[in-house]
Amino acid sequence: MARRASYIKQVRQAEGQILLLDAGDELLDPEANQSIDGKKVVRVARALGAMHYDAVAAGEAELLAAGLSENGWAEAIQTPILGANLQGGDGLLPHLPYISKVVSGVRVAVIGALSPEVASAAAIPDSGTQADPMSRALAEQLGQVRPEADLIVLLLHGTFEEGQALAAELEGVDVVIVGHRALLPRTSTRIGDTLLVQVGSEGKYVGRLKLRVSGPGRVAVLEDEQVLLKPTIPDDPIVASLLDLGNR
Amino acid sequence: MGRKVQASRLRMKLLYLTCAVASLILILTVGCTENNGPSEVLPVSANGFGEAVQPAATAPSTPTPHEITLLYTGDSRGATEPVKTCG
Repeated sequence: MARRASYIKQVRQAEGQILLLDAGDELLDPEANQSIDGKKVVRVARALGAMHYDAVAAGEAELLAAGLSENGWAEAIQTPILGANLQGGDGLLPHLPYISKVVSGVRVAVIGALSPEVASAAAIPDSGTQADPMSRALAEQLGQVRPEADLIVLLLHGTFEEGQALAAELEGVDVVIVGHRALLPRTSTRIGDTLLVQVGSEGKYVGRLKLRVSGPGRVAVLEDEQVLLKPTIPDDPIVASLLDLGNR
Repeated sequence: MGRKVQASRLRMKLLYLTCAVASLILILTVGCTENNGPSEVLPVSANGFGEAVQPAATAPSTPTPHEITLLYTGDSRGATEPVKTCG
């Protein structure tokens, strides 16, 4: 994660303003058969906060961590958590359906969604949060954001197949970023005018897209790569300190 | 006799005036149509199917293209240690 922070800094220095997004399951391993380490969750949240993410989608990890919200991780992350199809749980897992902002002169809207199948498959204790079917909730949000956005990104915490189905069904989504169980990076796929990407798991990669946006829905992909975070990339000292890596 | 002549001249003047006004209207109407053609011609779309497109002056202006860099991550599962890579 400290290496990732260093790479992100390099890109910011070279490119200026960027859009930095995460598709969920950042805080902990939802499949780990052990009790949740609340202190580690806070350290990870602080590290993400230091990297200044624009938005993070809610995954099973974030729902599992919702029960620990009193330890302050949701404030430490300093990033909106997105879930257009999430209902309830506002007290434990504060979330928004979408964000919109201007980045590098482009009006961007980012919508988040969590697959109900993925959420129900995880043994999540009652967080008071429920994931509804995605397509209807997303269609409603798309209707709101379309008039105010040139670039629409869907942050999907679900399977790649679900991402393909949503891309075929929904109109106006330019990029779908999938985040769920991909040990190796997926090859980018196009469904109609929608680009689907998925980065490899366990923090080994950072996906990078360079897009040219000429107006609503007029998006050209100039560059598309998954950057392997090799040991030649040094740890960022601030994030390494927040993660307490020096004491290991 | 004199009154009849005066009345006849007045009728002739009115007839001339009416004809002059009618001629002027005709000249203006025909002249405008012939010189300027139809007042509005809709351009034909590039696909050649005769589909009218919005005149450029009233179409929404195309924004200047912008380039944006998007970095994305996901499914890190709380991995904080330096990752083992083959690279």
